[in-house]
Amino acid sequence: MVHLIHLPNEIISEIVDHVDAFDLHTCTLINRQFHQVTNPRLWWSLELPNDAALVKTVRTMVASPHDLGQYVKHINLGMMLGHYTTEELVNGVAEMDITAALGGSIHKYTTINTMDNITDIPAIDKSFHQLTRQCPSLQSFNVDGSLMTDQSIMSLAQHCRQLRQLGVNDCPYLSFDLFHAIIQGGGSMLVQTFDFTNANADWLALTMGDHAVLMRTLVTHFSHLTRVSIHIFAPGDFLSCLCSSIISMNGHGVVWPHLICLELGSCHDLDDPLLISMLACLPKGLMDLVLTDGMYTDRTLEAMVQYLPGLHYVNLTCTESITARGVHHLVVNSRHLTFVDLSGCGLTSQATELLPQAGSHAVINDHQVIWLDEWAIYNMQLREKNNNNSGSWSDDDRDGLDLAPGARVMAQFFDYLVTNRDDGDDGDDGDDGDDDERQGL
Amino acid sequence: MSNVRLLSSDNEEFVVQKEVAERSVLIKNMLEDVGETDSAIPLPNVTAKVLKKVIEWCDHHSSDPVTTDETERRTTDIDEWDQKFMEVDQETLFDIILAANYLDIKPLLDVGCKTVANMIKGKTAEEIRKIFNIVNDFTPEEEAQIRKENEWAEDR
Repeated sequence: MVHLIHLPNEIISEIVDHVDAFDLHTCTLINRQFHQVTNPRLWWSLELPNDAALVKTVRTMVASPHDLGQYVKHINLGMMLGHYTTEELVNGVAEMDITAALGGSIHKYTTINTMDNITDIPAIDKSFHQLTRQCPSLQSFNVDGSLMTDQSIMSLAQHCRQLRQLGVNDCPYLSFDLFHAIIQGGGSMLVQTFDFTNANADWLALTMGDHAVLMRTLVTHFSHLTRVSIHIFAPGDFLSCLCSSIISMNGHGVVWPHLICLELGSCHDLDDPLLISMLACLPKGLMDLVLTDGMYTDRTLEAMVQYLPGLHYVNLTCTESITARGVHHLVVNSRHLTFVDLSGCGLTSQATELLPQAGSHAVINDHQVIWLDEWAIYNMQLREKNNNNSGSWSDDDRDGLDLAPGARVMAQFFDYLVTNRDDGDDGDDGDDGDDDERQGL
Repeated sequence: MSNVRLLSSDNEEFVVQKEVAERSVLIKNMLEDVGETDSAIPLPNVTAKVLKKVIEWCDHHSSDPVTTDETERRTTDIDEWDQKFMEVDQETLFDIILAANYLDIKPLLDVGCKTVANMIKGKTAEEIRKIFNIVNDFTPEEEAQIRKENEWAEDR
C-alpha cells in the first residue's frame, strides 16, 4: 500500500506548494521527511513585524542545529500592512499629516510606526550583523520602521553577496549615507532593485542640504540598477535633486543603462521642464514609469511618447493637472503601452467621453487598458461626498463598492482620515466626537 | 484520428486516441521518437487500475489549453469534475499522483497535489499524522526544538 510518506520528496514538495504559510509551519512538525522538505520553504521568506522579532529570530538561528539561515532568501521587516486592523492603522498614522495623507497613493499608509517595541539600537545592529552572517543567500531585504543604522546596511552589503533587492522605508537612524555604506560594503554592483520610501519629514529636514550629493551617489555608483523606486511623502527637493543628477550625468553615458522601471512617488517638486529633460536622459529600454502625485501637465506625457518608445506601464496616480486629451495622446502614440493607471487623477467623466467603454477599467483596443482602480473610484466618490457635505459613509455605501478585504480596512481608514479632518476644520467637536468616530470603525 | 496502444505493468492493453494519450508528455515524446508504430507502448510503472483512471482524466481534459500560469497553478481550487474524479481512497490517490509524475502529466499531478494539500489545510500536525497514517519519528527533544524555532510562523 502506498502511503503519503512513500511519495518522493519532490512530490511532497509539489503538495506543500499549495498550502499557505500557516499550514507549512504545521507540516514542519509532522515527521522528519516533512520537516526536511518544508523547513527550507518556511525559512525561505521571513516576515518579521518589528525589530524585537528580528532580534529573537536571529537568536533562534544562532542557537538552532538546523542551519536555518542558509534557506533565507527574502526578509521583510516591519512591512506587514495586511496584518494591521483599522484601529492599528489609525493609531500608527495618528502622527501623520492627514491632509497630505488624503492626497495620494497607498504607499503612505504602509508606513506604520513599529518602533515602540525596542529601543536598544546597538542590540539591533548587533542582531543585524549576525543575521547577515547567518543568511549568506539573502536576495531581497525590505525594512520599514527599524532602528537599524548604516552599520547594518554595510554588513548587509558585505556579507550578503546575492543581494539584488533593497527596500528601505522610514528608518530614522539610517542616514543619507546609506548609499555610501552600501558602496563601502562592496554592494553597489550587486543591487539591481532599490526601493526607498519615506514619510518622516523630520528626518528629511535633518539631512537637508545633502540631497544633491546623495542623489549623485545613487546615480553614479549604482549602474546595475534595473528598478528604482523612490517615494517621498514630505515636502522637499529630493526628487528634483535626483532628476538634476540624472540630467547632469547624462554627458557621461546613459545613467542606469539597464533601468526597466522608474517609480517616483509624490513628485510634487518636479515641473514639466525638469521632468521632460530627465525623461530624455533615461534609457530607451525603460518599460515601467510611475510618476504619482505630480504637478506636471500633458507636456510631460508628450515627452514620454517622444523619449520612451518602450513604455509598457505608466502610472500617473493622483496627478490632477493632466487631461484626458493628454492621456489619449500617450495611449494612442505609445505602441507598446498596455496599462495606464489614472487612479485619483479626477478624469472619470472626461475619460468616459474619451473612451467608450470606460468603467472601472477601460479597454481602448485589444491590448491597451486604462485603469481606474477601486481606490480611484473610492477616492472620487469620497471627494464628491465631501463636496456635497452630506456626512460620513454608511456601511451600505461601502458595501456597494465591493472592496477586497484588505481594501476594506483601508476604506475604513480613509473614513477615519476624512472624519478626523472634518473635525479639525470645525474645531468645536472636541474629544467626544472623535471617540464616537473611532467606535464607528 | 489515429489511436495509440498502451500496455500497463500488469499487461492489460488500452487503446486510446492519440490526442488523449499525448496529454502525457512522456508518451508524446516517445511517439515523436519512434514515429508511427503499431506496437503497444509499455508503461511498466503503471497498473491497469491506475492507467484506466489516468486515461479517464486525459480523455475528459483532452482539449484543455496548456496553462503555464503560476498563480493559477498555486491555488487550491479544483474544478468540480476533478473533485469528483479525485474522490478515491488514499492509495489510489497516491498511485494517480505517482503515475501523473511518471507519465509527465503536469495538470493531473497538480490536481492530485492540490487534493492532498486540501486534506492538510487547517489541521494540526497530529491530525495530519492520523489522516495519513504517518509515524512521528521525532524525538520529543527534536519536536520541541522545531516547535520553538518555528514558533514565529504560527501567527502568520
